Amino acid sequence: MRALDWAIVVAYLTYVIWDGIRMTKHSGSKEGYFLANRSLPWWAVGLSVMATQLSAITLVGTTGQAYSDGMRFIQFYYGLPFAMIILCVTVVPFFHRAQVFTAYEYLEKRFDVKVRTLTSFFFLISRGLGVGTIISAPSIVLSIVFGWNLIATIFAIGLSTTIYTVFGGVQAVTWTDVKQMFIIFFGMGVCLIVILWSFPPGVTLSDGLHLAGALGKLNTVDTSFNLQEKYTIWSGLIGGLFLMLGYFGCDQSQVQRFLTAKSVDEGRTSLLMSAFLKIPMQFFILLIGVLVFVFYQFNAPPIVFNAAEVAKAEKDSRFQAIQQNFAQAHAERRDAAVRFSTESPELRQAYIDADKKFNESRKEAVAFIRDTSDKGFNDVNYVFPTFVLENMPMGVIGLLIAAIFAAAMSSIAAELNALATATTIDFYRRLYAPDATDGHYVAVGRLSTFVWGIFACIVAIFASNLGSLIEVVNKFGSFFYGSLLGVFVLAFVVRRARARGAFFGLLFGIASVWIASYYTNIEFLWFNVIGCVVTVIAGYLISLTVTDGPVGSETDLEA
Amino acid sequence: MKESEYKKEVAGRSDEFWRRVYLAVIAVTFVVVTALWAFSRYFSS
Repeated sequence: MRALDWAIVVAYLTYVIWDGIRMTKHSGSKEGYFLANRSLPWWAVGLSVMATQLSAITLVGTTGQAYSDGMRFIQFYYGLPFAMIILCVTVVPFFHRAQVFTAYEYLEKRFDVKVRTLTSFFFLISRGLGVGTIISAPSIVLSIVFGWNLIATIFAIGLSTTIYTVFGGVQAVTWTDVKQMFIIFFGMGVCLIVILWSFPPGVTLSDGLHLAGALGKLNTVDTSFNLQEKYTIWSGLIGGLFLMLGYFGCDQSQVQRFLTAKSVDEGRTSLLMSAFLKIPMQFFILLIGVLVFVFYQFNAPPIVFNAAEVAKAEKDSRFQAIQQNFAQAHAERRDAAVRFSTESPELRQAYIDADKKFNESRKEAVAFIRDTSDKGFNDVNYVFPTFVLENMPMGVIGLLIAAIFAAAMSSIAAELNALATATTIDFYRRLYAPDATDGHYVAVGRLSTFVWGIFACIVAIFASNLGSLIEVVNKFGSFFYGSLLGVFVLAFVVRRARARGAFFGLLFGIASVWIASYYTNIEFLWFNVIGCVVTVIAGYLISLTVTDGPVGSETDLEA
Repeated sequence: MKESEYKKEVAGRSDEFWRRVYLAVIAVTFVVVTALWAFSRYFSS
């Protein structure tokens, strides 16, 4: 990185912290700090919803995924528009009319304080650990690719976000999200142009896409019904639907976004913005990953993208032989790609064969690294940052690093703000100090944000040393969403549901997902369906055993 | 703010309006997924 790149990154960090802190003046009251006085326009809330979902590891991992596996991942989002419609009909008007601060506060109105506290507790645990991995994952990648100090990178991302979230509250989160979304897409747009510019003379975008298509990198619809296949149209439409319902409807980090909207209509419109834009947006990000793949048809790619692992492996003479085979396989594939693009479409098969040989030589290198260094080695997240560092011009590198920082910070800020809100409203106000002043709750909210920010940075440092922890935390998130969604289904749909049913139904739901994850090979998207269905059935059956207790109804909430 | 405007603000848009919007979301999603399928078919053949 040159001075100009550093200047862009430092300017971005300085601007975003200043921009967030200046929102302090709007955050003096409890409503202002946690809900922006329910005054934000739909487009700002909509961009914030999308920015919260788009973390750095989504940005970096998705492009890497497209490079290695093609566009199949886009099917993950096919259930999202339908989830948004369901949420617009149910959750948005319910939460707005109930005038709640958190999603879990609503559950006390419908069930009791135990259900509210349990769901909020699961949210705090899963998201508290989750935000640590949101910081650690890009920090690990950036520190390895750019040679930065890992702990310094963790604190640069984590603390800078904590500072502006502490002061500006949800106003800072939303308005910085809006600007961060523009930085992300401006950076990615420039990246796309530079990649297209880098193609050899005579090779067009259409030629590049034909190269990727010939190798199956452009598959966007897989109609096979296989529970062990991660991305199919069915896992996206059904499993993805449940995941998105759980994430956008029951996770405070997203619920808090649309609670800040001016009205029910503006809240609905903000969610429908994602319904219209999310799939095209993911297509754009995946397309960049595919075009990076095409770029490396004509330019020599690293044998693996994690330079630290290559440096370790290169000490072994056996790896040098593998590198020679790899270089030869790349040269053959490059010639086959040029001939297929510029001479005759009939040379397609020769190109596919050359790619097969290339993949075999790369697999050999990956297997060598797994045997000699790291059994869980995964190169996907290193593809895009390495590509940026090695091939982007001065200035664009800084812009793209700022975009990766922006993606990380937009998610972290929303998570910290949601964690602080749940801590303050669901625990501190509900259980310890129900009658304190607004200023007192804002002070507690600020302190909670700071404590969660430091906690997240510490988790990030430990997560970076324990690779499997990241997997555990991510799995725990998917255990949580389906089961929590089940509690909300009981609340909204099942009139016979009672507090005891919701409480134990949630525990049964989470237990069922644990069992499914350890004793079956079912892919994680389906866990959301399992957790939700088990929670609803168990909750309903347990509720049948309860003869007394308050009966919650929609009328309680529409008052 | 006039009383009629206030009532309109509180009531929001009609259910009929939102039904049409939801149908539009479903239609656009169908068109987008079909376009993606056609895109992959075209460049993969």
